Amino acid sequence: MKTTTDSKLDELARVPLFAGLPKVDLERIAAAGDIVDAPCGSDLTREGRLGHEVFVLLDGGAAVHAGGEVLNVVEPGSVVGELAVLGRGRRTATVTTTAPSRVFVFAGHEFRRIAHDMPVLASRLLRKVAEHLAA
Amino acid sequence: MLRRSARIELLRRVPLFEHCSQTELRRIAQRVDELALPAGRRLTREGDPAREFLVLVGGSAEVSQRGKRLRVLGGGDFLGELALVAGTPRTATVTALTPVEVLRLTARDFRALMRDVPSLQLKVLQALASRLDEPEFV
Repeated sequence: MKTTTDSKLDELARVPLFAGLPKVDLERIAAAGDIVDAPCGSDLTREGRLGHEVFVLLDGGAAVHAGGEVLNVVEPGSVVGELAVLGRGRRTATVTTTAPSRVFVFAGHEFRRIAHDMPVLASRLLRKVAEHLAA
Repeated sequence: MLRRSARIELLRRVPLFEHCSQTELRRIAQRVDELALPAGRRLTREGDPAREFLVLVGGSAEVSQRGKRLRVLGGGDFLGELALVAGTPRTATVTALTPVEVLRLTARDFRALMRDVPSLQLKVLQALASRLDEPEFV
């Protein structure tokens, strides 16, 4: 029988950022955050505000807005909010759920510690941020 | 050319490398070249292929895109990582405003260093993320 922890690990293992990580690393990630339900229309981040969490969309959908424009659509498996946590702390965009969603929420300090301790994660995040900046 | 020990001391004062161990600094020192370049020299040119990573250790340089100044870099700042990591051409032109001293790593050595000294990846990542929140002009 699968426990709640096992199903949390299974869900995290399907996130591209965490793909292929050993079980011990997934367990550490799972212990560093909580899965929460976010009704449609919930703001995960607000442009210009200080942000202390990183979100992984497990189910549902979200849209990224900045300066009143929709910039991007967030699909399940995507990570949002990492720029403020890794950078100067201010949100660069508003991210709002567009459907009832399930979200894994990391505390920023835990996320930074994990990125420090898991080079493969830092490397994937580095590529993601660089591609975003270079676009 | 600085002696190995002097180069390690120089590296230790660069914020990017400040938390590196002595072994890591030795590894970096083996890979970097030091260059002294005159004011006005282009360090990168927007649109060119990315071939190197540079750390400014002295002097200042201007970052511009399509002729507009974006920011000024000073000692300890680094450049060139964005195109190397993203695999794109140079995203900006960087021009020395004063005589500058730089540490240079080839693209290949930069990638090897990111692999061998994982703590650097997070520092480069944090520097890139901070850049998104900078005012457009400084």
